[in-house]
Amino acid sequence: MTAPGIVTISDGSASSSPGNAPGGDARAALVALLARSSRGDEAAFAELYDLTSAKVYGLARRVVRDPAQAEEVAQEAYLEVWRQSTRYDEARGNPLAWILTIVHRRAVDRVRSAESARERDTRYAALGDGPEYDEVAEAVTATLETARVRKALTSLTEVQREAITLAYYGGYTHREVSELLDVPLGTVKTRMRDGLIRLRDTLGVEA
Amino acid sequence: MTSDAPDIHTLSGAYALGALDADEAAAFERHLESCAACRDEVRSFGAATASLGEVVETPAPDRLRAAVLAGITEIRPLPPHVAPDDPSTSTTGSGEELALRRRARDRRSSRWLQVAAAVLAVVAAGALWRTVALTQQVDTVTATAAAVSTVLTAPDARAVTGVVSSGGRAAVVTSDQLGRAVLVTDGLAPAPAGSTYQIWYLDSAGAATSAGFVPAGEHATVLLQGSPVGAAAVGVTLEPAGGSAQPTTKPVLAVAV
Ligand SMILES: [Zn+2]
Repeated sequence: MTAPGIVTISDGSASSSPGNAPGGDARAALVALLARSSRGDEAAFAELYDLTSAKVYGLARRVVRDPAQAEEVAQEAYLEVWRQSTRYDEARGNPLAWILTIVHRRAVDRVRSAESARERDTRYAALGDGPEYDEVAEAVTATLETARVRKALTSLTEVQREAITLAYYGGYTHREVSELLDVPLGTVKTRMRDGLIRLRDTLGVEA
Repeated sequence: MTSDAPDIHTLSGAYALGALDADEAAAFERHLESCAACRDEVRSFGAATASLGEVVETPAPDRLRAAVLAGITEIRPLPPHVAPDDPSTSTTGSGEELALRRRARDRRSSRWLQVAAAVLAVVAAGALWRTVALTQQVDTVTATAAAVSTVLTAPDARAVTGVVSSGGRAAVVTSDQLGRAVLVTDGLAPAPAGSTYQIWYLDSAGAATSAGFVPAGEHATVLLQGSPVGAAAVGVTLEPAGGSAQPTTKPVLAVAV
């Protein structure tokens, strides 16, 4: 359980801000704010920012690690959300999921870009030590959703969990994950898939 | 489409996690066009991967809010239909447009068609990602264009110019209020093979902090990483590809800011 890359989600205070509360109200609020944003309503976007910034910055920070770069990634992602706000379609799913997909894509692009080559080497080096992982994990807040996801992650086998967390939070390709875990590439592919199937079914979520 | 490796279906998980490289993602997207099982599966993973993203929270720095809200004043949200002259969608071209048109049509259609449309949208997003990966530099410039123009038009913006000793000239524009700086180069000589131009903030004691890299090309506009507040100068050195932790060569440019 102490292998590198495992998500350690701390038990913090169970308090959650209204915007972070899972459920229909937050979702409906975000849908409405995106609709207003798509018409150029800057005040609506400011509200959307306040409801989502901890998650957006948290995910960017988790993947790229460097605070300054995470800030840039979060900023670029928000500008893309603003620009693409017309493209969000409620029928397509949760607005927060849509926003976080944009953030994740940009964060992964950042860690894989040539500019980040040096930091990437550092990330590899840091994998041996582990403590770097806790630094961000301790900022994780325990909300209902967090507890749910944490529980779902514990239902995975160790290889499934490591493969998924290294890919999603670490931004590593499946080849890199194979190398890091010293597991054949074919096994990594199937563990990622099996793990996601299990995670999906445990969380009981449908897009 | 018929030449797919037999085990290509197993890539759905890696694809949903963003763990494929650009070429593999492109191949898998071609596969998605002909494989309904993988389309359904990729779609079904969407909420699970989003849940992974939702549970990581860190309070954002206050200046991020200011930068975002300043940035959006420079950008107009896309119109309801794909604008042909939009820079980011034109690079992905007809694929995304097609997907969007289909989606619009499908809203009046059966649930099955809605599912197919959702998958097309996923594919379009993947295609965008691939293009971004292939044109990282261009994209970085485009993505930060708003932030750049925010710096250039800041009320307290100051510009200093200098000559690059290896060829070309450069200007550095800083805004202490925004805590951002922009480097603009003109006629910059190409970096020798295996090396790259790295940008540094230098404080009054001479300590250097990396502020990013100058992308290849004669003309570049770079939003520097980090803040110029407290910096005495901005310098550029030639460093081995991938960059250095500290400058290892004599600066080709150094301007007081
Ligand atoms: Zn398939």
